[in-house]
Amino acid sequence: METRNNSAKQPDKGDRRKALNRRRDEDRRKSADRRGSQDRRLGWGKVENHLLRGALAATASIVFQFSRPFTIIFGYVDLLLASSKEEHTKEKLIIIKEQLNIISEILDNFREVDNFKTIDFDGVDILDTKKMLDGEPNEFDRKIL
Amino acid sequence: MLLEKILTRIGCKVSAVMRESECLAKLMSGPYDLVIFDHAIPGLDVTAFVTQVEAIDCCMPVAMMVTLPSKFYEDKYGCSGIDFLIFKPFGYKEVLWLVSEAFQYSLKLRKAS
Repeated sequence: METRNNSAKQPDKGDRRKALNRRRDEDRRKSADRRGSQDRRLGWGKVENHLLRGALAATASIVFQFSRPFTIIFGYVDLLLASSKEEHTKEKLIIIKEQLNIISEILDNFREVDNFKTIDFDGVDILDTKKMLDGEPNEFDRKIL
Repeated sequence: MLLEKILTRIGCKVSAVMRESECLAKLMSGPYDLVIFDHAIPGLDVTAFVTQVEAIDCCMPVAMMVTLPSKFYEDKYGCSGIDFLIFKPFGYKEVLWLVSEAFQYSLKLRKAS
């Protein structure tokens, strides 16, 4: 086995090898955790996992806080719809009910968030909570096709 | 007590209570077709409560009103004896569905026992 004199290397001061691994022609740093020291205090793991945990906490809070007042509104709109005899009032209540159904769907989508994915909305990253439709092929289906 | 109003409107006979002890006392005084309770009642030990309800009448379905993702409830209360979860916000239609499903389930359980 060939041995080399490594006296020039200073292990106490860290790995001084160049970033590029010439044998494999790849960056040595690619598998390393490149977070800053402040991020490291949060614990080990990929940044994406931390982002997902944050997103899940945020969506759970939204669902928890909004569900209760919307249940009350939903219930009273339904009771008013059942008891109201005026067509004009009923029409307006149906519009409110449709909008409440949309809110209910949004809250359902928030409940089903399981990965951190954002979409661009006019330069702002917002959480992508759109549900994939049953008929729409997903990544797995595309691979099969 | 909105749920009480909706259930009454559907045609159910409802007993609404505020405390766990009142609920258990009512259940002991006579048979019921369904128990609906809120997960967010402060200080309620859900598993212990459902165990007590099952001890009184094991053929009575139990439904819990919930807000968080279903996976949380599956992991935490999957084995606790809760038969139905009703996700907030819900309306007239969802309550009607719950009542009809619970009634059929209760009939099945009573026949089986």
